[in-house]
Amino acid sequence: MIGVSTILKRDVKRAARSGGTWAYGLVFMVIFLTLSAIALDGEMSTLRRLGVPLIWLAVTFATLMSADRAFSEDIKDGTTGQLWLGGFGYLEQAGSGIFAFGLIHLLPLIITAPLWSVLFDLNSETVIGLVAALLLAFPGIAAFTALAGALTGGQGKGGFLAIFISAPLLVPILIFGVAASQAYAITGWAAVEFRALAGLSLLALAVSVPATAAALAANTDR
Amino acid sequence: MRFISYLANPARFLRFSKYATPIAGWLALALIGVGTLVSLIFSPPAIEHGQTVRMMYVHVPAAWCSMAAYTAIAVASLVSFVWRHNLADSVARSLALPGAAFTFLALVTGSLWGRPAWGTWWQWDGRMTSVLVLLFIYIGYMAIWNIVADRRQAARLAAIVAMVGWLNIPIIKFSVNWWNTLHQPATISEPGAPGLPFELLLPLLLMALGYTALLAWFALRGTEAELAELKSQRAATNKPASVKLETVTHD
Amino acid sequence: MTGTATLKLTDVDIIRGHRTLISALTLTLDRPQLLWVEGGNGIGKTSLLRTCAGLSQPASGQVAWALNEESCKAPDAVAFLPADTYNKSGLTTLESAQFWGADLGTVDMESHATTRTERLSTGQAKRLSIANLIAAEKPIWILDEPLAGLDASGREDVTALLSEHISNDGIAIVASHTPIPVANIFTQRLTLG
Repeated sequence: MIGVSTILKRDVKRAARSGGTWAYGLVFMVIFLTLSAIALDGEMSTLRRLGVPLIWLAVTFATLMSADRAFSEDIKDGTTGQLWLGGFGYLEQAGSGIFAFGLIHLLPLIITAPLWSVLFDLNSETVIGLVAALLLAFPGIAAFTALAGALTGGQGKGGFLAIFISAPLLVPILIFGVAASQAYAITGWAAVEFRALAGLSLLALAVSVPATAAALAANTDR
Repeated sequence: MRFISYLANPARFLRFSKYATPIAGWLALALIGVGTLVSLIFSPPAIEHGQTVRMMYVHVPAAWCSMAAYTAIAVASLVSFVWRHNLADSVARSLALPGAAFTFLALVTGSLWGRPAWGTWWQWDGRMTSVLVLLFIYIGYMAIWNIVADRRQAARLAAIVAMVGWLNIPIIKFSVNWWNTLHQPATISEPGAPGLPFELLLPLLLMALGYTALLAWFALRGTEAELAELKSQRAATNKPASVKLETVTHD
Repeated sequence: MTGTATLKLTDVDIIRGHRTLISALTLTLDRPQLLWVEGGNGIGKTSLLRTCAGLSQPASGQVAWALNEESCKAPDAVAFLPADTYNKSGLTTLESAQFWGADLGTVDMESHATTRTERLSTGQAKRLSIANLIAAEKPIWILDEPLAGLDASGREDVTALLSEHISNDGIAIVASHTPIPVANIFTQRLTLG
């Protein structure tokens, strides 16, 4: 019987054997941050101030760049339809696909964020706030990006379009994510931004799972 | 709802649109024409904004229509998604371009107005920012229609995009407003308040109604055009396959 | 296999893009049989098969499935073998089979257990997909060009599998350019032209 864990195991195994393509997002993130620091003249006082928003942007864009990995291959080769016939419905596929996508393409970016924060000389409170906020945003970012991947997954040149579709949806998470990251150093865990971010993130997930399932069904109907 | 299902039949829709389309078109022309005259000649310059207040008569209805068009797209998408009405797709699709154009117009006129009012072309204030994000949502919606080759598939995927976008618009608005009030002091006072004098309200209303009629004309005209295109393509392409069923005897 | 299955198409229209492929097709399969679907390229064989499998929605009309005269959903009754492989690169043959709960022994592929699926030949890849088909244990098999890419012994194996499936009260819908040499099996030919 196919379940969430079967899908996760398959995707993680394939990512590990893909010759490092899963890490492209990570590489993109580091390049983006390096170029940002260079463009900002390497001025530490500026970088310290802009570190949090820049890391948020890097995480968001690196995830968006991977959007076409979310469901595209399964849609194109017919696995989506086969899983549905095998009793693993579109809703379950949407949920496990979003989770697997987040685990492989987003989580490494979040876990390594403290490492890149060194480039911006961020203090430890800010780094804690940043990582906590990114973790809270994890479901939301993964869900909206994977949704865009499911919507465009049947198309040859879907990658760019996926960015068009998910970027506007990510605006609230970006706003509250950056705010929450910075709020920790001032107000600690009680900061209202954390609660708002968690709410937005879960709301994004709740909207995305059925929408992704509908997109998978629509892409199978061909 | 009954009205929608009545119109879901293409033949009935064409009978309706034969009259409704020209009515909407001429109404739009007349209202916008009179509205322009009134707003340019009869309406007085406002005390705090001077002559630039006339920008309002383009800006406010455009902003209003950008949202109204998107709401109409979302409703049509819901009808198309749940009841699989082809006409609803056509309506939604036909509204996307004028909706995006109104959004763009609202941004441009807002910027032109902002220059004398705030001394800058652009402000990251809550309203302008969320209208800009709305323009991005429109672009994503139109892009789906353009990139997906199969019409039925495009309609379903675009409908999902429209509905998810619509659910998110209030959240985006709320977030941007929160962000704006946190980081920046309120910058403008628009003369859009309830206490608006009649001389200003009249052209505003005329223009808003005219723009709405224009949107209706776009929706009707676009749907008619798509129906005609579908019909000609169906007629031009091959007949369905003949089907023959027979029992095979093994020898 | 549990009991008998039914597949019923009522007034089905299939439209792709702007082309009407099939119009007002009514068809009932309610006893063990082979339905051989024949027709030129692009005539709509695959679209018909996908519609019968519930993967695609007909533009109008109904497709209904039943198990023991009780109506059910497509995934309860149908297994589908697409013309192209859906095996994943990066997995071994055994891992792929395990993912789908399939047994390599049913298609004589144990000797390739550790081979990556991307290194399999067309025929071997097809055998792997057939293992998934068998493992699904569904009464209605829908097969798109199952003989393509197989050697003589592979074709014999597939024919034998089909005979066995239908003798066990199964239904098989097969799109093929060549006849399927099953003997003593009730066979109908649906020609699209």
